[in-house]
Amino acid sequence: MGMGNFIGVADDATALYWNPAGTATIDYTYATLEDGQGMQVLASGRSRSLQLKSETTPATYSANVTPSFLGILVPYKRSVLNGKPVSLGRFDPSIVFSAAYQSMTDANLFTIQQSNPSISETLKSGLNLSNASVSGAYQLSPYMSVGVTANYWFGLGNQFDYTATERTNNIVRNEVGKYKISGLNFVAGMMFDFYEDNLPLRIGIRATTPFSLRNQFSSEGNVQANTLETRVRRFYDQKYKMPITAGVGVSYRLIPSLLIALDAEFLPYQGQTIQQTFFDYNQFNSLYPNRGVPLLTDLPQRPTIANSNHYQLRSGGEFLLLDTGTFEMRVMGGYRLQTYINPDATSSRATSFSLGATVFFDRFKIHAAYEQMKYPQTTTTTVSQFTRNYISFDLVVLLRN
Amino acid sequence: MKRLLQITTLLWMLSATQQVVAQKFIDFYKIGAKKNQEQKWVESVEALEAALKVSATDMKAVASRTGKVSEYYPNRELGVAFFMLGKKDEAKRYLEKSFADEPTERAKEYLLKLDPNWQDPRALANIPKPPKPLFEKEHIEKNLETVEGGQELVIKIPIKNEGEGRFEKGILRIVPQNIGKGMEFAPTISVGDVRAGASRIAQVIIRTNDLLTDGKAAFVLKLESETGTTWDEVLIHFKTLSPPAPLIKVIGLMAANDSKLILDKGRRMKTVKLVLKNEGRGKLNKPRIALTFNDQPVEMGGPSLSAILAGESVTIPCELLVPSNFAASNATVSINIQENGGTYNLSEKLTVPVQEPLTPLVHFEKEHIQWEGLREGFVTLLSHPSIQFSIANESDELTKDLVVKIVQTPINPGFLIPSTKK
Repeated sequence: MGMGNFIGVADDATALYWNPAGTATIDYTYATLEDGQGMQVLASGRSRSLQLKSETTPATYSANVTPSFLGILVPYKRSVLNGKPVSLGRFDPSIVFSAAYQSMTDANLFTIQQSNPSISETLKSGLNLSNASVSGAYQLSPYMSVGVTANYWFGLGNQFDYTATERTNNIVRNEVGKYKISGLNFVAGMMFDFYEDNLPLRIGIRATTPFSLRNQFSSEGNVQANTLETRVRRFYDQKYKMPITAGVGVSYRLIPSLLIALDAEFLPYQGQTIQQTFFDYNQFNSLYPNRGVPLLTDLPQRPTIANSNHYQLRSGGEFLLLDTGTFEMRVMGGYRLQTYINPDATSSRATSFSLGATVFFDRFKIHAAYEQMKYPQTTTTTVSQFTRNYISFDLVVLLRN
Repeated sequence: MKRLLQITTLLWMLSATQQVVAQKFIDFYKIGAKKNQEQKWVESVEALEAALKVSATDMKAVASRTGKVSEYYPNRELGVAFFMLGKKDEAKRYLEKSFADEPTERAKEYLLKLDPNWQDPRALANIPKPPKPLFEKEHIEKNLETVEGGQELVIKIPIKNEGEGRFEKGILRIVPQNIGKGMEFAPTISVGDVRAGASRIAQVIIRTNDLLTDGKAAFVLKLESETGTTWDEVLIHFKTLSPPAPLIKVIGLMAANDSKLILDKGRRMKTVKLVLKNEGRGKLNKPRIALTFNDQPVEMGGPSLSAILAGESVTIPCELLVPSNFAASNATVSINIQENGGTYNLSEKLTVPVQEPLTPLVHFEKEHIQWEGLREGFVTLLSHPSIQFSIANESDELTKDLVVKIVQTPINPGFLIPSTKK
């Protein structure tokens, strides 16, 4: 989603995740607002591939494209809401409403088939952990705006299937489970914007509230051992705590056509009980939903007590390559450095780079990007080297009222 | 976290302070520009002066959040407003400031309205220095002084730029003064750029063809700029010659012993010689020579000719026949010579005297007359000597019945002689 994915930029519909305040200072022109334009829709799809090199459990996820974001952004000027004409030259606060569906992590969308001389088993999970989000932003002054987003957590495709055959004991298991996901959290942001003072600088601040996500998982099935058949039921009431996070971002135009941005995010996890699934969510952010550890495989994932705080640094640049008036092309690149929590509570450091391009024409904006991230994950028992590749496609349509 | 909160509070306070200032330069400029469009000059001045307090420089590119440039010309718009209000001094001051910051056609338009003689100060500073390209006439080179048809005349003319500016996109124009047919040339030749103080050689090529005639020719070469200014002229003259064509002359028809040819009626002449000479400057390639004798084609002897070089004489053997019934005293020989290319065609007639043959055309071959039946060279009694003779016919027709008469002189009565023999 291009440069919008920075706390200090946040100028498209994804801002309701990155910094809800950012939408209030999107560079609307008076002309577009007078014409009732400015409303826009953003749809995003993402393809993932994950290669895992591990000493003990080599595994590969196949690539697929999944829809990951669909959002709408509806901007107003206060005078318009009050039924008055837009007043040129006078400060007229922007009020922006937005709503989105987000796939927060598809770590629970998996099929695992493993087989060894003693057992062969198949685990299939269809859970897409999602958010329905609504957001509002308000421009307090020409230089400052605030925004808040409410995320309601829910699951799509809550089915879980498990079959196993234990050859040595001649036992066959069949099980069907259901997830029930619920949760609510908030993202709050502030944006300081100095463009109106001929200083092309934006500074953003973002925080996410701590919350608990609940998964009431129940499953039922048969266990057949020779002639003996047993009915089994399982029920897990998982509650995962999600600590607060806070970040700051800065963007600046070195020349009018070159934007650079830097984000720093702080995750005060030390001593906190972290469930890795949600750590992944926070670490890699909801707009990269393919990352993360499943809530459960055959057993629920157990929490980890982090032994250190974590951070994330993101930097990027965007260059306006071509602008003919009816057609625009921008190219961009990014670099990310962050710590990563391991299952044994230790941390590793991951790096990634990304490249992308965006074209604008008529009312459309099409963005394509590639990102690759590498990080080691070391525990007392395994050494894994992950390489994740992502290709994403976004479409933004500027609607006319 | 505490520090983060402190920074947030500080930024918020900063922005709140800015909010008191409220209107921003870009908004003021936009108001001013719009008021100018609405011709509300007083309101425009108020807004634009407020904008100038924040940022006093006209710019065509103010950074926007999207990276697109947005214009900012408060000085210019203020100048326009003052002009419309009749405050010419202020108008000029702001318009000139605008033009100095960022030149625009709109500022120029109003500056010219204030002063029709106003000139762009940058233009005054950047008047281009003039070039001064000239021919170096004393160094003109020609590869030929006299040009024959088919040859190329190459003229090399050095051009020196004695001015201070660059001579750009120069043209050499070739103006014919005195030329006939047979010359081809491009009317203009590009000279290209010549830096100040530098020289460049231009080359003019004049091609000639077969139509060139002997005489003199002259051209004027003009050195012009792209705009049509003529910087220099030079007259070029040279001699011309027609193309080096062969010139075949017929020396004549001669008898085999090179004596004057006189033909006898009814008698073949096997070794008549046709003598030709090429008196031209070009050679004749593979000439086709045809000879007619009294309008009858004559077969030419000897090997076929591949060429007749300039100055060369050739002798061609041929056979002529004057029939016996030829009545006139002169015969006509026509000679026709053609070259393969068809560029040379000669036709000439000769008159050859014809006389009655000096010796009979039908005669005994005296050396072949033999006596037989003799005894030791004598005719004796009872012997029957006979005489064998042969008769030659050199004419071109069959003889009528011939009668051979034997006449005894003196008469010996002892000989019995047949009277005649057919």
